[in-house]
Amino acid sequence: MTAEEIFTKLQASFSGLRIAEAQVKEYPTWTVPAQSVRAVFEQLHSEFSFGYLDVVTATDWSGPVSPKGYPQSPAVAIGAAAAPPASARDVFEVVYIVTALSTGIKLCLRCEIPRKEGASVPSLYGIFMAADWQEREVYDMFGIHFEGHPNLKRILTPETQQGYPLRKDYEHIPDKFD
Amino acid sequence: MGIVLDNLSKIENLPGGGIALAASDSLINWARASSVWPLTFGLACCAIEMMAAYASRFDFERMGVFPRPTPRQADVMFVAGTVVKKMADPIIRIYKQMPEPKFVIAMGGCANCGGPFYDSYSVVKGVDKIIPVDVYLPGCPPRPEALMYAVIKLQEKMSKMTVKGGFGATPLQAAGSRKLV
Repeated sequence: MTAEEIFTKLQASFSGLRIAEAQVKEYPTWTVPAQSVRAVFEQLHSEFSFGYLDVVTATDWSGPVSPKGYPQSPAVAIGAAAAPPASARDVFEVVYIVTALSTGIKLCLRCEIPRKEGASVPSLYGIFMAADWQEREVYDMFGIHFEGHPNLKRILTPETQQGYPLRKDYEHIPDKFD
Repeated sequence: MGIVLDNLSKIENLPGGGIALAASDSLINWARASSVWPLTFGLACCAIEMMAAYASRFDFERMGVFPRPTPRQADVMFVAGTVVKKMADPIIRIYKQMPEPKFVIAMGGCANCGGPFYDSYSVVKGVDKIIPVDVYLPGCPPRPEALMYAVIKLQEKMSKMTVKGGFGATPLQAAGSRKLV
């Protein structure tokens, strides 16, 4: 079964599923609305044997912000902030890449959510084992909440970390190690 | 006795006898500098160079550098790699477990000052922010020969320690300094 056939079958039950304008690598790339993320992946997992979750990551699509609070090394001069590119918009995009090891198909699913405090998408915990730590990492770096994750806490940065470092508007608060 | 005579300038042979007298400083410093036992401990890519220095091509053990698996038996800690803020507490804990006198070699740009991660949100800007450092070794990463040179420098420092000066067995360096003469 090819990716196109899977897409056609899925779109019958999930009308929000679209083929994305921008493709990620050579993978078939779809956009999926946040409310049907878990159902789509459940079906991909059970019906089409997508058993391997490669990647959960996220993108902050807001425009460039001049870095604040970092201890700048004197050799580096930060110029004026660049003009926001045409693609800048106020969203977080959660990106999933999932593989069916039996057929070798890799899919990329992108899910846009409004960029705000407490932005959330459904968790894939329980479908894929790999979702546990990868979702915690996305939470750690972007502050995106994964509804239904039983242990959503920071995984890479220490508990004393303030804010979410990979957000564009992250403001670094120097601590005793800086 | 040949080795002892070569290494200890203050040793004396009494005429007509096999008794040797040496200043205790020289004897103890010679023993200490000849068996610099580091902790088996690496943080990042510098640790690969450190492992290469231990292995047969460079053979660190000919200098008396023999990695120990526990901080209780170690004299020196090579901080080989990037110190992230989450690793700061374990490093302080390991350092406190080492017996006095203890020494630290900060290996590579990251351990010296943060290196290429200076502007990062998660990197400690130099391991000397958390523990006192004896030798700073630049490089990214330094070659095994450079690490050997750092150990030689540390041995030079050890050979200047005196019983009078507290012998390096200072309190936990709360002030961050060693009473080296």
